[in-house]
Amino acid sequence: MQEHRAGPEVKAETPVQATLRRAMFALLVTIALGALVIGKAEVYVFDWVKSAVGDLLAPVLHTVTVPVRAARDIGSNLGRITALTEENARLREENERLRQWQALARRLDGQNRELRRLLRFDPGEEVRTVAARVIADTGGPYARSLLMDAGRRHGVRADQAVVSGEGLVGRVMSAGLRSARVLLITDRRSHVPVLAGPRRVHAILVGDNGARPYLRFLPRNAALAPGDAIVTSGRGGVFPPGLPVGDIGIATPSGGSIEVVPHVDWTRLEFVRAIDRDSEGFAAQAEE
Amino acid sequence: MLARLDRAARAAVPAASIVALLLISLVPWIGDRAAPALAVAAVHYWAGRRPDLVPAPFVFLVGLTHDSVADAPFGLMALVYLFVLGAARSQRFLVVGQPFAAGWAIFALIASGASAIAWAGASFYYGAALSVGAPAAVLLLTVLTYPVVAAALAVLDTAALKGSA
Repeated sequence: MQEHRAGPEVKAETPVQATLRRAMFALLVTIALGALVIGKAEVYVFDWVKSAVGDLLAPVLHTVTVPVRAARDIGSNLGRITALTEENARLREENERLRQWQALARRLDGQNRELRRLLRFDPGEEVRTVAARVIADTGGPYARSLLMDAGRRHGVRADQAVVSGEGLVGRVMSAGLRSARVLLITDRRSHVPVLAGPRRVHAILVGDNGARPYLRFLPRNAALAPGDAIVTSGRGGVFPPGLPVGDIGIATPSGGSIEVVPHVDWTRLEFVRAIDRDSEGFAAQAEE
Repeated sequence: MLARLDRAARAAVPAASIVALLLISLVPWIGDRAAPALAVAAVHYWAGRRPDLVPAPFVFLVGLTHDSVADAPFGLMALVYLFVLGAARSQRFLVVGQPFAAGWAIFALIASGASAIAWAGASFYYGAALSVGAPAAVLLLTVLTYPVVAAALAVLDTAALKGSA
């Protein structure tokens, strides 16, 4: 490997310049430390700055995302080519099974409509959603959030629930004009009211910045087993009821925390949808 | 006039490469959600090679941008980048003429310090001792990818800044 080279000779600083540089350095360190301390108080201006920077960089991040994703996909697809025949057979089989489910769903949908008509039930409008691309995965070790390329201009507002095709992703934490930050359900600041298991026990899903959130405030007699489904309860009004969240993972024997395996595959998350809770459909669902 | 523009463009290469690597590291591309801190490696490289072209206010702004996009506690990454800048600047004369491994080892030490500062700052911000697993994974990836980042920056360095000071 190459030897560590000397940089070109940089002009020597005068004592005054060196002092000024050190003073500037100390000042910046102090400002950074001060911001960290003041930020604990959830200062609104910092949120505004973060939102503005997100808005400013949204087009750039969008542009960078496309080729990087393409490169990543090429790499992962090359590895899968050998397994294509096997996967094709599996997909055919799955397709056949899904067709049967689709036929059943259509029949049930027809029945549902008919019963609603008989009850004179007004379902209101369909729930309106805003689709967006994930442009920055800000899932560093200290926060689990992402930036999406839709903001207030597109109808995204703070506290809207965000879903993918697989299930609940999180909620909109702040919405800029062109971008919005989504707090993931795995972030330690996230608290989602949920129903757990076949007995639909109420609990709160809490993140800890790890890959799997866990359940808190479960009743003592809650009998839950690995694989039991977790859905949103709708309490609190932020998340519509019934959104699939994940399944019970490992339950610690001491009855302590119970891990939840989210349905969302964070590694493949490319598009998300924010649910407009002001739409009539949301109100209708919440009342159900 | 053209010569002056050319010099300015060349002098902007370190800053541009730091910003580019920051943006790339923020893009959702790595599966396990632990991505190497590419901009930290870039700040270290340029602070050792051309400290005059990576002034502290610029590094501070890069840190605040990182904090803003990554939703990190405001000021945390600014502090981390300033630490890397200061440490790399003070160590630059130690590694000149030494094998690359020596520079790599020093980077590993500085990156470990930066990681410790980030962990301590975030734990203070959230009021609880955070898990060390994820920061350790980021540190490991950052150190392991350093030779690639340094080699790429060395190409830029040679192409754009050779002989300029």
